[in-house]
Amino acid sequence: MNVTSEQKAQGIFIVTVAGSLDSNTYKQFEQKIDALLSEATELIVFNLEFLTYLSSAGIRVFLKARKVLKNSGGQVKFLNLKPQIKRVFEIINAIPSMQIFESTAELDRYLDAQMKQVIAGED
Amino acid sequence: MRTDITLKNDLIEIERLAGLVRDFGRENRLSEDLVWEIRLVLEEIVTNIISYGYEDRADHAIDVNMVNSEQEITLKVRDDARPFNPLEQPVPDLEIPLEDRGIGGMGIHIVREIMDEIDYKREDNGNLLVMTRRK
Repeated sequence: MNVTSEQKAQGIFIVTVAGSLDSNTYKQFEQKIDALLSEATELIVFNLEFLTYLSSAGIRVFLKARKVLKNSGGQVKFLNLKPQIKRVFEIINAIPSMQIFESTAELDRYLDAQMKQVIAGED
Repeated sequence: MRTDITLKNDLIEIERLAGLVRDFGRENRLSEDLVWEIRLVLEEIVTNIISYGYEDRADHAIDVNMVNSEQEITLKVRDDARPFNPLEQPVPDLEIPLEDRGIGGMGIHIVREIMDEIDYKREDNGNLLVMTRRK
């Protein structure tokens, strides 16, 4: 398991998690996410393109991030869910309440629109 | 073909378990999806045992047995942990928004969704779980 986070703008992070997110590796992942949650984070987009495996231990970290950010007015979104990863989320009926970008292009359009809103708001 | 594994009660074993399930899948020419499911089910069960099953800090053995037959995959997990019958766990209410749901029971729910039959027995001071998944 390997985690990298890229700051896209103020308070906006793309977190790419690669490899296996399981009961043996989730703690390491959780520590990285907790660090982001303690900052003034508004949006975390989890890029799951390189995630090869996910169990309930990993899902709990995503759910925790969502809960914490929601309480402070922020959001969690997901990018690039492979069929097997999607299936695990489906089993726990998480898909209906998840915001998922199907592609990086879709994410970029969303982020561009967000930026424009911010700029318009500042005028 | 069958595979027998003995795991220690340490979460570091989850990685070894994953490798052994992959080998079992390769030897039996199982689909990638089926291998994923077996790995997920066994991880959820074994993680529960390691995390909540023991009252002492001693070493314990968890025996895992995988059998591939023409019709089905059978998975057996035997431990010497405190009594725990996953079939008696309340089914999580999946209609409740995720944020408001308790986080407990998610692993067992995943196991129930994937496997077709689950039998639980308390015997010889341990738990025996026998799970089958039709192909």
